[in-house]
Amino acid sequence: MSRQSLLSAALSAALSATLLPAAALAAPGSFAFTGTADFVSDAPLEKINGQANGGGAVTLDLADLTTLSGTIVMPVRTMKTGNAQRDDHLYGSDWLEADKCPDVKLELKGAKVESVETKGDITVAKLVVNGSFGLHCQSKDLAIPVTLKAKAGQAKVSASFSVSLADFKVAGKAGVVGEKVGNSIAVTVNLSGAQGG
Amino acid sequence: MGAQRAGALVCALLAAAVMGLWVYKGLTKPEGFKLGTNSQVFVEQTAVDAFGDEVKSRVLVDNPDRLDLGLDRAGPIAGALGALAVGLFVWGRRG
Repeated sequence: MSRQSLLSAALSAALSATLLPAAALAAPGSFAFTGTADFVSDAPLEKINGQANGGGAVTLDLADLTTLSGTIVMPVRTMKTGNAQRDDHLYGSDWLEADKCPDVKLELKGAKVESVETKGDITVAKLVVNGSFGLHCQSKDLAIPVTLKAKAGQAKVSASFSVSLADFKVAGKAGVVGEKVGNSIAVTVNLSGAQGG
Repeated sequence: MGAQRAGALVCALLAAAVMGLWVYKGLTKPEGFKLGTNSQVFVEQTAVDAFGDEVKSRVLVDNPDRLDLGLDRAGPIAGALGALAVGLFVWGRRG
């Protein structure tokens, strides 16, 4: 092989090595996310902090974030508030009925892109994700503001939203919701994941 | 003062102290008054993630504050001490 051919081959290889990761990142891919959902119930008589764990598979195409889709699942029995008796009540028949409705589920069905920034190899996007939120065997469509950061096959998302217990027919014991448990629960989700999960 | 009345006074003071502790914790803790006693509490941890960002996360750990009572424990303890105080006082008066 001539020197020119060798140089040409080496140059092609070098170009492929730099372009391929970007191409791979831009192609749609399935990400396996895991993380936590922190929730706060702020009622006149008591403020309750809790956390649930879970994850799921999300399909992301950084070239077209509007096509984002997937499902995030957090089992009800991973919800912990620091008080074992309160947790048992939470899983019970007066509240979330974990035996009948074991999971809190968020189905993602596309997004509206508010802004996208690229800093080096990191893409930061602010989205409003359309989803169906499932709790207590009820579901409701939600539009959730989300911040997404992605690079080289890794991604993380954070989101904050509120859930109204009445929308999901979570009545609790008489007189508790509104006084000891907030009518609306503030939720903050933080998930991180890798492509190919 | 007879022994019963002294005992009644001690029990009444202890009952007041238990409820006072509950009120004090409610006024000084960030989450305010608690109806339920938390055997575990959330603590914040900071770590640097794969993106070089400092991220805060919360984890549950055993509550190091053994005096962090909720009303579910303070109430019955104070109630029992109060009832004992009343009983000792009545006994003291009859004796």
